[in-house]
Amino acid sequence: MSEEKDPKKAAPEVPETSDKKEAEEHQVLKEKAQEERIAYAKKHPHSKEAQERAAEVMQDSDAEADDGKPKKKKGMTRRQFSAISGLSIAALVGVGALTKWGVTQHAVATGQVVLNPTPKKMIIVYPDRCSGCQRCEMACTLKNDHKLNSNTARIKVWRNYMYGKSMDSGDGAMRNLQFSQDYCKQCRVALCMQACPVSAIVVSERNGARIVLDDRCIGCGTCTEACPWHMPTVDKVTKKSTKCISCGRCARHCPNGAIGFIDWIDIADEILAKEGRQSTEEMLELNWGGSVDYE
Amino acid sequence: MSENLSYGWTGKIARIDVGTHAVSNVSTEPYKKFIGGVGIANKIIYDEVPAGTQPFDPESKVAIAVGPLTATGVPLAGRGSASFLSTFTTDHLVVDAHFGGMLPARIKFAGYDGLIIEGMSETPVYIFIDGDEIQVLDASDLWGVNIRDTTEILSNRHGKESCVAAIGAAGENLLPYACLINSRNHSGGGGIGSILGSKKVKAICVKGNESIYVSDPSEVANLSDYMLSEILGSNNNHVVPSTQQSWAEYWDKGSRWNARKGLYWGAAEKPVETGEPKPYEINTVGLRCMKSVFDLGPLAEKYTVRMDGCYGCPVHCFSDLKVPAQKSITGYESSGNTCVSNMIFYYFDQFFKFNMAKEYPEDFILFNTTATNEIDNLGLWDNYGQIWRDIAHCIVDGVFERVLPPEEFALFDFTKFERHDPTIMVDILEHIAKNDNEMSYVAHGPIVWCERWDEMDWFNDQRSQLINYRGWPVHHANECCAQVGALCNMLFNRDDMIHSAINFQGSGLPEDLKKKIAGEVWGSPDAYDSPKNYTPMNEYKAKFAWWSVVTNLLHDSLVLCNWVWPMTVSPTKDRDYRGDLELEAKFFKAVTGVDYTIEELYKIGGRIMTLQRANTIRGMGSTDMRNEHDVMTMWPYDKDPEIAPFTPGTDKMEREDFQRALTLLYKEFHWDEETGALTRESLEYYDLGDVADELEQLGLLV
Repeated sequence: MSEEKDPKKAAPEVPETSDKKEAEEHQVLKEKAQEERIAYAKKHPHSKEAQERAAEVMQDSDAEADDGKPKKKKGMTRRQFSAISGLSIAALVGVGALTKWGVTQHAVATGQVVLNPTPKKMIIVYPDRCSGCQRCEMACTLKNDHKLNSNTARIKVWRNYMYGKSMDSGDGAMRNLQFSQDYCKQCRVALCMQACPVSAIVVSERNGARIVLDDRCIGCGTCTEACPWHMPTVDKVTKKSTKCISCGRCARHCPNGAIGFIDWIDIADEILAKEGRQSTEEMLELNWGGSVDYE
Repeated sequence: MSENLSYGWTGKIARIDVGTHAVSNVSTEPYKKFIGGVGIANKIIYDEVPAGTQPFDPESKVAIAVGPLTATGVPLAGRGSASFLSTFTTDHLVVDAHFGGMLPARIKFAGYDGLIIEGMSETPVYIFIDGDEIQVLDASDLWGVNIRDTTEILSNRHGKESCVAAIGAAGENLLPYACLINSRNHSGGGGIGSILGSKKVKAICVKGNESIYVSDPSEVANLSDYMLSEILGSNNNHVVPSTQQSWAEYWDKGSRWNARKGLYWGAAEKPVETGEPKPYEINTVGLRCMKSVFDLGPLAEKYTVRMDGCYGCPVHCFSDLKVPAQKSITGYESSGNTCVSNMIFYYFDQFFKFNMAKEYPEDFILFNTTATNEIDNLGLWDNYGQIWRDIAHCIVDGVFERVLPPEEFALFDFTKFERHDPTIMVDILEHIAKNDNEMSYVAHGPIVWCERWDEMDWFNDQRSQLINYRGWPVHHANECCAQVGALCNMLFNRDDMIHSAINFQGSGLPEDLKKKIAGEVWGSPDAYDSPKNYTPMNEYKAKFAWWSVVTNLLHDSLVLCNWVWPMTVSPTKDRDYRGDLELEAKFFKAVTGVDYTIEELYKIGGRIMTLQRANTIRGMGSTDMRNEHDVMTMWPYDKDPEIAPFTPGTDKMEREDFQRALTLLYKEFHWDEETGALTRESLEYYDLGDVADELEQLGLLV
């Protein structure tokens, strides 16, 4: 069977054969094709087809993240992958490095394990339903900071309530009555994560959200500046950055159903395009000189 | 770290002298026996403003306070309270203003349990609070600027995350009916605006993002979920929908739970259907009350962007309306308030009888939104609708024609009312706000204009709705639970703003169920009379009245919104529609760590009432409260002359019965049963022995 170069073509199925060596070779080819499909999608973030093709091999598993407990993992998470990035998946499987997570050659070949490099769930907002009550901010900080502070709330309403996103926007309760919640988009290419000088922002094992590791964070605020929407916020008491972890508490408690908790989609670049700004990948290119080896 | 944390309270109150610009912090600790809000504010005024002080004197102060529950995640904990001297009722004694919007939460997030504003400035100033730093800054460029523009200028200057509370022309011109407005339409009334105006304080601008700590964060969250899921109803805690809905056993067309299929927030970018919210659905609680159509009629649907309101409130009873036709009249498309201030022409129409709400609904909306925008931009207070009745009476019954100088009367084309031209409201309100003319006396209060214009009969005219000769109107009086409502309306130095009883009456549950619950809560079904089907006074009604007052003052000290709390009933059939009357105590413990029973908290409400009573007695220099203070006007007794009291079809009162009612109420409060004044025992019961000492020295203890 010849090697498939074009990632648009389906990855070759592993044929039924009693020859173990041939099966292993076929498996390697399959994994390589999957790898290339993922790499192609990464290089072409605006190509819907490329994303769909990659998604076929990166299917989300159905875990719900909002009960606070990690569900039994079906596949390797993106954090695991990024922790061992640099190796091809095929090579990792081949050397048995992933058997700890049940990722054996057999499991991959038979589809029991689907390598899953994207976050599972994220918050999205419905501004028309938002009444500005700011209970989401309180619910967030009560759960995640064990106190109240509108600054560290990981979904932000107060800062837009009176005059919108800026004094000259014409928005806000004082003007045209339009305001919306600011929320973390769990960017596929997360600039906060890239910008952090101490690698304190990582991909969550539990649900793929980009989360701050307190023991690494030095409270420098680079994440706040790097984020196009200035979402991560340094708590001036703890001196740590606070950032949405997609726990879903705000969505659960919102009295208006103005926050949804949905399967992850990469909308950061869509929103930036609407705002007339560069994509996160372009910003990454501009500010940090190139792409980074993670999803 | 936890040993140093203050749970609920921030621990400090700021004292600001606007004359010397001196700023200092006062510990909240000695005030905690009054909890916060109205309790702390009353204590400050009692201690620091001597009897005989007039509202615009240098010694007059404004005490603003929030509570330990403010901005802690407790539902409906976004309000605050201020105490100061009344500008418009007899003897200018202590009154409270309650206000919401964003100001109380931002005061708390700035790090304060309260503010004491004192002294006098000779030039216009504003108070700028940025966390630890408080400054008194020059406001000469803001004096004469309307409230919306003032808010914008200060937000431009200090950042859009500032919260600005400002006075307008009414306060600057020392009009007694002047309020303090924050966040477009949230008002603190009672004359606070003109007291600040007398001190040349144009605005308070608050910024800050301190952390607020609570004793048990997960319990606060759990209780909040529980409350929103199965306890809370809608605005005024109405617990049934206003239309028949498949999920609900009961419905009541007067209910403020007026969400239904096919009713939308119609001016949202993508209209939001209110639908059929129901118990156990936290994510639809905020859709239950579509107050805009409740206030303004069905046509308001297409103008409603959303329901808005106070910080932390899931109910949201303030309308955010977009009315394009407004722009050419007031300069703004956006408008909206709640209740009286959202439906002003309703009160005019009781006199004009155009039936505008039904016959000319578009004109009704335009008239109301015009008037709302005007009063909220001028900072002109309406004394719970009294000013509208007074103005309408003076127009319709020829009083203005008689008393205004001819050249002043000629300024107004009153035929604009007949032509539904809303600019007449602009003409009248801007004129009154100047406070340099005869018409403006209507905004000095009935004790002033009725005497000045030889209209003292107005107090006994049912159309006035004045409930007490000392100059305030009905706020759920004899039409609310018989003697219970009427009694509540006697006790303060302005309208009582108590909703505990009216919420129960209007809850929407069937009458027999309400009676049953009344028996459980106040000792007998006889505590509660159905509307216009009254019985003579009894001890259970006294208990109900006492409970209404103490729950209200408890809420105004925590601070919780008494327009919705307490949770006497619920919409939940599984609970037999019972609410949770211990919820205040549960939240209090979760927030502060302090374990009071609800009875102990009610007693603190009684303490606050008694302290204000003491202040009133001291200010009057009299102990004959029964005959000099707690005197109801005559129309509640004399209305419906063809029907006898305590027969079906009338909500009238009976004179001797009401005197008996006062006696029973005084007893509930541990006050002197004869005079309604205070004995040493009264005060010591509430741990106010120091107040007893002072009153004794003044010869004012019974």
